[in-house]
Amino acid sequence: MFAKGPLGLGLMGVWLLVVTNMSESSPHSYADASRVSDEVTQGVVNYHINGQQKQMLALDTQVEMAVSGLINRVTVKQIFNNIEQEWINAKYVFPLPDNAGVDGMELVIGERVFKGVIKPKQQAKQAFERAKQQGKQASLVSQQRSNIFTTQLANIGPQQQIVVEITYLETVSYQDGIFSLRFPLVVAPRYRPDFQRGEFAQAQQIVVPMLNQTQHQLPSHKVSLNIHIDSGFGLTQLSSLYHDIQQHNQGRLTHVVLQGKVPLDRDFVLQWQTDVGDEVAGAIFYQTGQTHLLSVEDNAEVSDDIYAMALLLPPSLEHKSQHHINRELIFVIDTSGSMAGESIKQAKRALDLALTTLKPMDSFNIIDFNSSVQSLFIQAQAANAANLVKARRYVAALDADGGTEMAPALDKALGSTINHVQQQSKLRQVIFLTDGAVSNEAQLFEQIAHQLQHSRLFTVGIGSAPNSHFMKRAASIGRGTFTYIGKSAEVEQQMTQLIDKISQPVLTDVELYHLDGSIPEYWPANIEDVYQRSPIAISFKVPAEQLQPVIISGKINGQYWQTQLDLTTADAATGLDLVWANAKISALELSQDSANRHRVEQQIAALALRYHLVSSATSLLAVDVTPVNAHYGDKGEYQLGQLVPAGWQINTIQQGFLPQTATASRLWLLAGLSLFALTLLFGLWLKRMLPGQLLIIQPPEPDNA
Amino acid sequence: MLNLHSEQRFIAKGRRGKALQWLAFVMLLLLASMMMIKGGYMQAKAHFAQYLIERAFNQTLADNKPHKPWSWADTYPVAKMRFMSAKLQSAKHDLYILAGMSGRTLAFGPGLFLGGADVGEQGNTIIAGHRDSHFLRLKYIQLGDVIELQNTQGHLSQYKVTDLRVVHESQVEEMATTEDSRLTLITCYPFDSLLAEADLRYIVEAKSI
Repeated sequence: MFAKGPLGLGLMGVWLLVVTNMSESSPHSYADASRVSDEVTQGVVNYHINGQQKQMLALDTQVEMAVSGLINRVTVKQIFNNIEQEWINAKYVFPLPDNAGVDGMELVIGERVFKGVIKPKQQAKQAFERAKQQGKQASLVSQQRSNIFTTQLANIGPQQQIVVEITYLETVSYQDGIFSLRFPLVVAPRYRPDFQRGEFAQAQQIVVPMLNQTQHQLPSHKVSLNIHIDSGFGLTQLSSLYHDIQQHNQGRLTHVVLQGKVPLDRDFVLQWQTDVGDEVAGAIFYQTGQTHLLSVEDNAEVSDDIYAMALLLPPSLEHKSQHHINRELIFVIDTSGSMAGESIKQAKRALDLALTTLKPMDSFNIIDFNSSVQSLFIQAQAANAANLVKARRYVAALDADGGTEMAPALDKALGSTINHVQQQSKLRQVIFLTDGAVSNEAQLFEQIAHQLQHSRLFTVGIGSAPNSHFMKRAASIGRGTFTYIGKSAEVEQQMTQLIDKISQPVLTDVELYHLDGSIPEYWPANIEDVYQRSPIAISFKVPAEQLQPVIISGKINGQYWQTQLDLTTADAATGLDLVWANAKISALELSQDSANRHRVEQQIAALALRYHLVSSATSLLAVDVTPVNAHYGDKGEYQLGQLVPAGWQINTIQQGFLPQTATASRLWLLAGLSLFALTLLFGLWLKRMLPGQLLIIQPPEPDNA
Repeated sequence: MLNLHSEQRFIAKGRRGKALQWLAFVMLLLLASMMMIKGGYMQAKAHFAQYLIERAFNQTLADNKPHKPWSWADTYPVAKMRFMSAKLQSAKHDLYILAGMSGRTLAFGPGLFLGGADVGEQGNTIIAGHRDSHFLRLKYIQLGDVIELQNTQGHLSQYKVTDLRVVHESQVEEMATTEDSRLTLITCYPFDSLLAEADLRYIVEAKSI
């Protein structure tokens, strides 16, 4: 033992050292981009001077917001002053809310004016390449992700003023009957621009010049917020959580003002509730013409089309007793070989979690499939204690192996609806957990569309790189939603959210048409259901001459329901054309397959160019539009860096993580070999055959005898 | 007397200790072999499965139908990959690509992302493989090397390596569809790491020629 101990420890030590060194080497080579979002808390200008990283706060921030229902159109104008005595290159950073997309921007640096224009990606890329050759690489690669608006500000003169104006569209958050919106105002105590990795990696000290001047008082600057709210209904309980506001009411419209020096330790948060009765309520908004005018040569065909949006709100909670809806929940779980490992564990946990939320009046069934289809019960059974115990045992025994034959599973989950037509009161919800590794997509879509009837299909994507395009499209055809679970840590939150949401359907089978029966252009073709926790907004386009009331119909608990909304009573809103075009682009993207890919891409590009939208086919570029008489030489297109608002691009980008592409095989081999060698040494020592042992250990023996 | 007694006790204790030591030796030996078998099994699986996959792929080439390499498989071969690189020239570096990117598929061969473009199709064809087996050879790929893919119809498409880069696993935009026809190979980085977990990915970007 004495011989082995130290030697073994020593070897283990060496081996551990090797492993830790390797694992440590990785974080250095890549700065985590997600950290940036934690650090950027309000719009600031960052720059680098004399080896120091500095940051300017805005002298003046002017914000205009126009809320129409669930959509908020925001214009932010921020003014900065370069207090340095030198020319600097800087970067403007603004934290966008989740789910926001920038569609316009204007920069004024001294006398130079830059304007954001939408360009096809190919063209933008070429501009990119040019900028790359000029050594502006950092701005090109760093901003591909996270919801931060960044743009380069080049050649700012001493004492020069910088004015940044951006416009974006965001979705107002809605939870338990309360709408809320947030505008970032907090100043981060220290700011570390990790995305400028390499280049500024050594910057240790961060100096905030504006903050230092006001060290003895709370940091503040001039902020003015001007908010027009048209919630579609009467407002009740409008309040700002942390700031004093003034408000004026004018019918459906409410005007909120916040002005003057504002402490910068809290974000601005505004909350309100609407006066909705005990039934689903509808409201309508409209806008004439487009937000962004087309470029000069297209001016001839400027149209006065009307872009409208219908909002359907669930009844307020206090008015409504929790009505009991008899639901039939069918869980379908993919147990094919591709789910083996972490995926099946996540799926099983998700399923277990879903089982705990079942109410006694619900009925349920579990279907699992790989090469063949099995199910817990032949028919859906009541969710009583005995059945739930059976279900739990069934789930625990599931194992991933074999092929992926999805069609028979779908057939079993959806097809049996046909026998149930007489019991219409039961709401069938099919929750489908899979990684979507299928090859016959087109056939499956057709099957879902054909067999769906009154069921709803909710797909839950599991694993690191699920085929989310398939699952999104399947959910859209199945009139449900797609939920993505990337890590096991997310299972609980995502599943609870989904189950909570779908547990209270309020209005189903929604349809929208004109008084004369004609159907306006809205996307996607299947309108979502309204749930207690999620209101819906349908945006549609109407030719100017066809202005007439719209009718929205649907079913509440199986009963027919309809409401008529008159466009003429609505107040004018802004940004609705962008919402409409974005919905159409999302629908087009979803319909993409290998056969029509090229055509659909062209359609998307045309739409995005026309409505001035960032999409999978277009990007926003900064172009120098300084008037000709200005005495600056560099004219024409000027690449300032790409603006990539996330949020709106989610449809085009794969969710989750890149696939996991390593195994520990070599680690096992190495560890096994080392242990084997050690064990052999140990054996030799036991046999007293190690060199030296004979000499040292044997001599005492004659003494003993 | 007392002295002798204690000496006997010492010898007896020594014998028992000896037996225990031998037991420990056998246990350690077993543990070591298990670890080696576990690691070796993964490597052997990765290596020998390729032969079965090759057979299935050749069948597919002959009758143009998907064939599973073994009856209980959840995947089927979709392509053959050949490297035309100075360091990976010989045919023994050929790889057979399977459909899908799940952990189980990747244990047997590199996998094609089913949400991306098919082999030889316009768009982004994405293939991922393990850094410790099939895609260890990506380490030797250089800019300008040519990668040839043969799809199930026997059609050959060639791609020229235009970029090699390291990205974080959250940079899923690598898997976005593209307008041009390209091949994206993904494996874990760094190549020498022994661990099964990795935050970084090595991307080989090759454009159709």
